[in-house]
Order: sequence, then structure tokens, then C-alpha cells
Amino acid sequence: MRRAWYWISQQGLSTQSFYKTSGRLLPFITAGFLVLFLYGLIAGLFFAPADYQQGDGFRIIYVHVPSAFAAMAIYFCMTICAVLTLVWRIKIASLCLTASTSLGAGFTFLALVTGSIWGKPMWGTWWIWDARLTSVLILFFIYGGLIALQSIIANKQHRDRAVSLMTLVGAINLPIIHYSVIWWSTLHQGATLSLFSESLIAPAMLRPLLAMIAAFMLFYGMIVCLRMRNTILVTDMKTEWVKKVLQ
Amino acid sequence: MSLSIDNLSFSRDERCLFDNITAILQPGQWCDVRGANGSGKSTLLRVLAGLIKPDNGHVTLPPFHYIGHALGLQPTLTVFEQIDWQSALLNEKIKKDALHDAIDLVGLTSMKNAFTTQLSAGQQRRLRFAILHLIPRPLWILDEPYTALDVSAQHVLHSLIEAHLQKKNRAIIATHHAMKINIPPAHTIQLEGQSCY
Amino acid sequence: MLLTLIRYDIIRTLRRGFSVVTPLLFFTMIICLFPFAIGDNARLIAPGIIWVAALLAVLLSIDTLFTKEWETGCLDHLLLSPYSLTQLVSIKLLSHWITYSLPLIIISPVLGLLLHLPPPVIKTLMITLLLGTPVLTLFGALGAALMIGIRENSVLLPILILPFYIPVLIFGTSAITTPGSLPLLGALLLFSIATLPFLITQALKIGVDT
Repeated sequence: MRRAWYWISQQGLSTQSFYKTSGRLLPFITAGFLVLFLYGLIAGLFFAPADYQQGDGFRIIYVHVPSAFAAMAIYFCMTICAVLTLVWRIKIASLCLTASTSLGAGFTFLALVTGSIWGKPMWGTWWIWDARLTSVLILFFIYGGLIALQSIIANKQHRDRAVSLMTLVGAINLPIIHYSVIWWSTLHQGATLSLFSESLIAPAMLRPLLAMIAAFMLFYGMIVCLRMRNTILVTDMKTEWVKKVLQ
Repeated sequence: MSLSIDNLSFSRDERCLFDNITAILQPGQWCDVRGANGSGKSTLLRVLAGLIKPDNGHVTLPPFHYIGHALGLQPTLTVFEQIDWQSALLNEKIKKDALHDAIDLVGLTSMKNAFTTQLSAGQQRRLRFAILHLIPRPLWILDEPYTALDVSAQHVLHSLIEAHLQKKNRAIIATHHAMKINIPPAHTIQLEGQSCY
Repeated sequence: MLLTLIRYDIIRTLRRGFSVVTPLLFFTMIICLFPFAIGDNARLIAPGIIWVAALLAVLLSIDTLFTKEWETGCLDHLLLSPYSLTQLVSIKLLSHWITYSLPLIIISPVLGLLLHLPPPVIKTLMITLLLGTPVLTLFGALGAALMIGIRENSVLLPILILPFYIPVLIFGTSAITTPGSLPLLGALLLFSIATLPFLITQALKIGVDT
């Protein structure tokens, strides 16, 4: 059993097989991203009905919610990669982890900025120190710390494991962000979407939103794949299969 | 207690340092680890000491002393306190007169109350040797023990190692020139020019 | 034996000379800056000022906690000791807290008086610092443990650790105005004591194993 697992982690999840599989998947990911993104953008901005309270201003939701979702989903994904790196030392997990940090930071920044732009007309202020906003800001700082840590350590193995450990510690922030609108009564509204109960949003508004969320995640997947493939080519430069690929 | 090194391999940043190192040491034997600078001697000893995890293989060792490049001495403690601290760290009690004897043996009598920072590099090594002598361990792992030693300190080291081996203990020593002790090594691990693939 | 180790840890810190009191001086001077900057109104935000200053002072004191041990090779010997590294790390943190954080708490009433805080508030402030500074030490030590083997790390530690100081600061200062959140601060302390020494150990092992 241990040997089987060892084989999977070393061969089945090897950089070479990842390179092959991701190469086959990338066109589909890219196509899916383009279709969903264009649909979400057009349907969201032109066809979805205006909100009866917020008017057309609510349409920023089609950027704000997907980026906030991506900010947390990427961190969640990084947490899983961190465990895989620390416990089983799986190479592609650590590649995925280090490729994700700056994307996560970017989406968090986008969520903060769009939220602030949305907040000005709706709440009358750019920023408020409520629990949801503060915890997302902390998430942004944590991403920043991880990027700094990652950029300063030269030794690859050392870097991957140090970043993994810090990612795990920071994961404690995720449930706090998620439940902040429930635990504390905040200015930020409660969750719009829910897996298990009916969403509090009209279907015509909902469909483009879901499409945008999926598009953002596919975009993340696409960029991470490209980055990982780049890193793999550089680190495995001396192996036979890379020489073949580059010819 | 048995000592075996089984199929050890290690690479760092895609560069292979050593591969398939296997050795068994019987009581009273010592193993010589040879190689040029940067060949991975220190890394091998750190892997043996369990400070670094190998990529493959495993190591079974009896309790041991490890002396690396950095000696692991606290700069702000006196010679006397240093030994007290080290023995507390190893959970061992040391008798006062044994301690004084050991300090005399390694030639630090006049420096008993000096801070570690006031000792020269060679004297700091002597202090480590006093700890080797005071707290018995069936295995010594020594990384370049000749560094910074004058002739008299080398004699101290030789007699310590010989006495240690004669008591049916073992040692693994990394050097880049031959150890001048009367007991020849039972094993030699040569670390340069190995092909790893 | 463990007591001997604590004793030597404290002796070693005290022998570092003036650097032992640097965080304390820093703490005092930061607090004295505020009345100059915001005048009499400083007294309204005095607990917050003292908390932020304590936080920065702990951060200042902790950044070389493990780098010295790493450079001298002592960390190797801590790892090779029959005691678990988690035990030894806990000892080290305890003596660090005694030598660096405890003086901050002891001097805080004086600084509270300088900022015209009423005595009952000073008392609560001291309790929150007593519960909060160990959490600051623990998180700081985690950062310090990750710093071993990294050169040019001067600003990395604050960037890495300050996000985790924010909750401590929130709970610590809110406990002064609303006594209801004092148990929350206590819970945070217990949680940190339960988890962080282990994580610090792991961080040290990552640094050594490279």
C-alpha cells in the first residue's frame, strides 16, 4: 500500500505526467473560460434586470462576488497543496502552491477595490472596519506575507515547505471570513448564494453570476497551469523528456 | 546496539550529492568519510544524525554525539556553564570532579571561567572534546575534527578517539586528509565523482 | 534538568547586555510619541496606544530568537536532545516572555498614568496584556522560526506576522472596554499555547532540513 502510494506520488503525479495532462486540458479550460466569461459579462451587464433598490449599480456584483469567491477558493486550494507538500512532499502540489499566491493576492485586491467602489454609493463610504472587510483585508495581508516569504528564500525545497507551513497557519482566517457576516452583525450583507437553500436572487441575475464565478476559477486554473508548466520546463531542463518537448 | 546505514541517497536542488550509501559498523570500528570540499560530507553526516531527511534509505544508530561545522556552543556562557548546559540538554548528570578532570584533560584549565566568545576556535573545539569525554555515547559523528586544532589539541583528539574505540564504541569521521590514529578505518566512504543515475 | 535549561536561557538573555532593555525603551518611547502627536486626546485612545506599542515591542524583541541558535549550531543540539523540540521551544518561549514581555506589563501602569488612564482601566489593561502578550510571543516565534537560514530578512518577519497580530489586538483592546471579551482573549491564548509550539517546531525542522 505504501509502495503503491509512493509510486503514485512520484510517478503518477510526476512533473512529466502533469505536463502532458495539463497540455491536453489547457485548450478546454481556456475555451470554457472564454465562453463563460463572455456570457457572464454580456448577460450580466445588459440582460439581467436592474436591482429594485440599487439600480444598475448592483452590476458590479459580477466582478465583486467572483473575485471574492476566487480569493477564498484559491486560498483553500493552496491549503490543500500545503498539506500535500508537507506530508507527502508531492512536487506538483508545491508548484501549484507557489504559482497561486500572487493570483490569490490579485483577486483579493480586486475584491477589496470593487467592494469599495460598490460601497461608496450604497453605504456612503469607501471603507468601513466591519468584520467581513477586515478579515478579507487580513487575507490580503497574509497573501502579501506569503509572496514576500516565497520571494526571499532561495532554496526551492526550503521555500516550498516554509510557504506551506505559513499557508496552513493562515487558513484559520478562511472560516472567519466566511462566518463573519453571521457571527457579527455587519454592514456587509449576508451571503447571496448558498449551496443548500434557495438563493436570495432572481434566476436572471443568478445565472450570469454563476457563469462569472466559474469563469474566474477557470481563469485561475488556466494561469496556474501555464505557470506550473513554465517552472517545470525550467527545473527539469536537463531531463530527456524536456529536451524532446523543446525540440 | 546495531549501526547500519542502508541504501542512503540524497539530492539537493536537482543535484545528486550521494547515492546508495550502505555501511555496517561493528563495535570498536570506525568509518572514514572522505571527499573534497562541497562533495557532501557534511550533508551526509547531518543526514546520519537525523537533522536532514534523506530522499531514500534509512539509518539505524545508537545514541551519539554529533560535532558539526558550527560547534553548538552558547557564546555567552562560561566554559563551566557551557558543560553544565549541554549536560542538562542531554539529561545527564555530571560529577564536579569529573568535570574538572575533563577540563584539565583538554587543556582549558586556565580558561575555566572564560566566556565562550573569549576562546579561540581551537579552544572551542577543545571544549567540545571535553563534552565528548564527559558524557559517554556509543557513537561519535565528527565533521572535520581537525579544523583549527594545534598539534597538542590533535594529540588530545587522537587519544580521545582511540580510547573511545578501545571501549568497543564506534565513530564516523569526515575528513579531507587522513586521520592519524593507530586504528585503521573499517570502512571508507568516498564521496567524490559518484554517478547518481 | 528543564529548570536548569530555563535558568540558562534567562542568564544568556540577561548577558546580552543593553539589548535586553531595548524593547522596553522602545515601548516607552513609542507611547510617549502619541501625546506629542495628538495632544490631550491621546488619553481617549490610551489603551490602544499601549497595546500597539506592546505589540511592536514584542515583535522587535523576537526577530533574532532562533537565528543566533541556528548560526552557532545550538539548534542542531536542541534537535538531538532526548527532550522533544516542542518542550525545548516552550522553555525558550517561557524565558523569552519572562525577560521581555513581563517588564512591559510591569511598567505599563506608569505609562497608563502618563496618559491619564483611571486606575481600574489600568488594571484591566494589565490583565489583557498578561493574556495577550504570550500570544504575541508565540506568533512572533513562529515567524522567527521561519527566518532561520534566510538572509536579508529584516522586514520580512513583521510582514509575515502582523496579519496574525490583528485578531490579538482586536480582542485585547475590546476586552478593555467590554469585559465580556476577556474570555475570548483567554480562549485565544489557550488555543495558541496548544497549537503554536508544535508549529514552531515544524518551522525549525524545515529550516534545519535544507
